[in-house]
Amino acid sequence: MPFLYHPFAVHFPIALWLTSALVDAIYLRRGDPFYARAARLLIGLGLLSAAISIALGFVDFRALGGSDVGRAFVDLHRLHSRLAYAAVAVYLVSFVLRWRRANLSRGIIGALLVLGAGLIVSATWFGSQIRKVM
Amino acid sequence: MPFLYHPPVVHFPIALWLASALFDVLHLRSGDQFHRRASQFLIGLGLLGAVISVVLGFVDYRSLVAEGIGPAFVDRHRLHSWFAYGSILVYLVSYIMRRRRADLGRGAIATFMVLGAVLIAAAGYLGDIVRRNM
Repeated sequence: MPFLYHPFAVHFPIALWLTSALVDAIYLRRGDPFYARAARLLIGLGLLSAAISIALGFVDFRALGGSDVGRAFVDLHRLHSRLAYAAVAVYLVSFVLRWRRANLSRGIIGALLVLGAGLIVSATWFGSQIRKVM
Repeated sequence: MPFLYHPPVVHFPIALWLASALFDVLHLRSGDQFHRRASQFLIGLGLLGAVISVVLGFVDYRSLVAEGIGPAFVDRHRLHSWFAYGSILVYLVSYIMRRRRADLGRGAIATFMVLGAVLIAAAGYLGDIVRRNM
């Protein structure tokens, strides 16, 4: 198997986005602006690292294409990718909204928190299943 | 192979501690107290994630050894563990010193930052080698 770059980069969007959910939850309870700024920064750093993870995922996918990876790998990778793209879209919208509106409502913050966390957890789960069929 | 609990949790200490290094650099450059507090917060959460990761690592280790995984795994795992314990020690000392001393010097912050980042990056790299050779 060739050296894979994606597993090293993917720690960041997963952990930073899920931590942003915790930080948002603390902000919604306490109202301390430190947590609002921290959540926005974590989401922004997560977006940057997600773009790098996706690019490295394609580098790995092409390198693995030379070996016989099999149908299960391709199908799982497609499902994992779609969930990952959806997570990127949700966190991108969340980041832009937070950047433009300092007084974003608690309902919108809560909805984006749950949707984004659900998508990145699902993407991670299918990503771990890919490693099992490699 | 049994279900492994360690890999999904280990994203947190790796990403949060390395992100804390970025916040430390921003604090050392700008002097902004937000970055100092954010770094301390991420180091604390990373410690919590690391303790859970170590416990779940031993759960996985016991079930893999019971299945007769072999001495090469045990040796690689031991090396990975030493680096992981080293990084926990460094970040624990760093966290305690940051909490006790609001005026912690730039030299101490930078030393902990570099030492901790090198140790967790090495532990992460060696952990991936353990995973790839299972």
